[in-house]
Amino acid sequence: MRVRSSRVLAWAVPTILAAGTLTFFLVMTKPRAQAGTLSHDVTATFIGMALIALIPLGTLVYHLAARHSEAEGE
Amino acid sequence: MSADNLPAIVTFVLFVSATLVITWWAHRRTQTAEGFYAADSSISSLQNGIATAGDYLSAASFLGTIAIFYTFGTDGLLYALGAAAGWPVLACLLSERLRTLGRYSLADVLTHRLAERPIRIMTATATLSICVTYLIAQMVAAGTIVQVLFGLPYVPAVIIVGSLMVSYVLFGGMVATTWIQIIKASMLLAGAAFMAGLVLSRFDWNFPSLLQRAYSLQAAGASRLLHDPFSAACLAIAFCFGPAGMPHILMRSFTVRSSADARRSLVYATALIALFQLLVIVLGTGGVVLLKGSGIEPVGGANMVAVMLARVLGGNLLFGIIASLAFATILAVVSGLTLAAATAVSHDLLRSVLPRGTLSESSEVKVSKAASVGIGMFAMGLGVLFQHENVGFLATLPLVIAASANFPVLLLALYWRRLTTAGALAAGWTGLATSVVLVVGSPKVWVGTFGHAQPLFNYEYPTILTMGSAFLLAVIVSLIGPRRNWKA
Repeated sequence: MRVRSSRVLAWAVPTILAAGTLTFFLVMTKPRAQAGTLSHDVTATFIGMALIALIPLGTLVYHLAARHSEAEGE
Repeated sequence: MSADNLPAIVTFVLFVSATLVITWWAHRRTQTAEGFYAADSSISSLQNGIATAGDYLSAASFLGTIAIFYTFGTDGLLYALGAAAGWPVLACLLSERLRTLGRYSLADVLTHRLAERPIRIMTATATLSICVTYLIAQMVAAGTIVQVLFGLPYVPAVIIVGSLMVSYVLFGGMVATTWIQIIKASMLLAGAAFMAGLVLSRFDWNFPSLLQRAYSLQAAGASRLLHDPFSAACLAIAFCFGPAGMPHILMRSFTVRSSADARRSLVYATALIALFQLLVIVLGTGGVVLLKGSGIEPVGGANMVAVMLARVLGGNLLFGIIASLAFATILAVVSGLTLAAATAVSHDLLRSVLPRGTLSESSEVKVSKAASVGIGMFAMGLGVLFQHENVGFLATLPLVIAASANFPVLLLALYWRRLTTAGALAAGWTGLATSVVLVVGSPKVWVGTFGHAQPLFNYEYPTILTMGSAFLLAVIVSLIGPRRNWKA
């Protein structure tokens, strides 16, 4: 049976991004003694910003897949 | 009021005048129930995307996250990422089905396959709980800003905000609310981008250097916002799934023509919200260096760091513009919330109580307008009662309730054929009751607000327990409970 890519992405995109967010929250909640040097904080900021940037990109990928499916009349 | 505040007053008066003109124009256009609740589904996807972003970019997003950077350093990242994290769920999983099945409210979507009366009562109760909790946060923020900006006392400030928000909904309905959000979101994004540019220009556009200076100013071993993995996971889950249960956000899907437009508008909204959060990170770290690093204490507390940063960057002119922008942000968000709450009263609650067919559409709109007045007055009263509460904390509570009460029922109703009315009711009522009880029993509310010695529940956010129990009960009750007397 052929599964529509947009249907897979509809679940995969939010799941992956939510898992990334949850992991980031858990890592950031470690006590400062474990997590917190200046370079760690700077790196964490860039990772957080990359995650934020991935959120609209993931949503856009789903939108394009859904539009493609609509165009093919699936 | 001093001459320093003149730019703020001028900007604020201009915004209010423009929005009142829009409300008058919208009032002339809004003739039907569909016009009042859903703007006749005539909003384009780009317009709806900007308005949806405006609905979500509240004072907590702007003032609260920057304040958390100032007070807790990298913990601000959690709020910046969290604010964007919930949108893929809405855009990918819910938007198209919401538009296909819904008309005016969340209950319309659910009652396609579940029994109408008990579901409408449940979703209306959840909607009112979420909107009123969110309104308190916005009212408290508005009162604080006006104290700093205009020198007005707190209570008159709350009354001014409350009166304006009721006027927007009373006369303009969804059309006015949408256009006010579009203007506000555009102004807020432009203001934040301009300020972020000014911050970066002070550091020769070297962002890593700004970060290093900001975090070196945070004392080693400084207090953290979240202390344990359970609270962190609960807050992350509230951020990821809360927006998908927020009634004023869900209502926006009904204002566009098609399900493809609904999906496209959420792609725009997600992009704008993510962009805004990236700007907020620059502003938050900039606030640490330019205020804390210079020994400047923000007047009005940490929540005012954003507006004080504007004064450092651009003098009284930018201070006035950004402060009035923050006030306008609150004004726009509360009008959207009031409309969602009024719709719950007139379209869902009253319909469930009155016999079928006794309430015409025009009478329903009149009831909705009367409800918006009542909700506005109630929110003003609560805004005064909770005036000393932390805005950032208050603003996350409705996300916890929305993720626990509305989201499980909505997701299962759209994707799980075996969900029964009893399962949905068990999930919705359990999610609502447990989230409200555990939030009230949390250390911040039970100890901090009510002054008890010990909290009833040791964590600030109970989302894992409340959302988890809602999903679990929905499945168990649907599988083992009776199926008769229900649709589908």
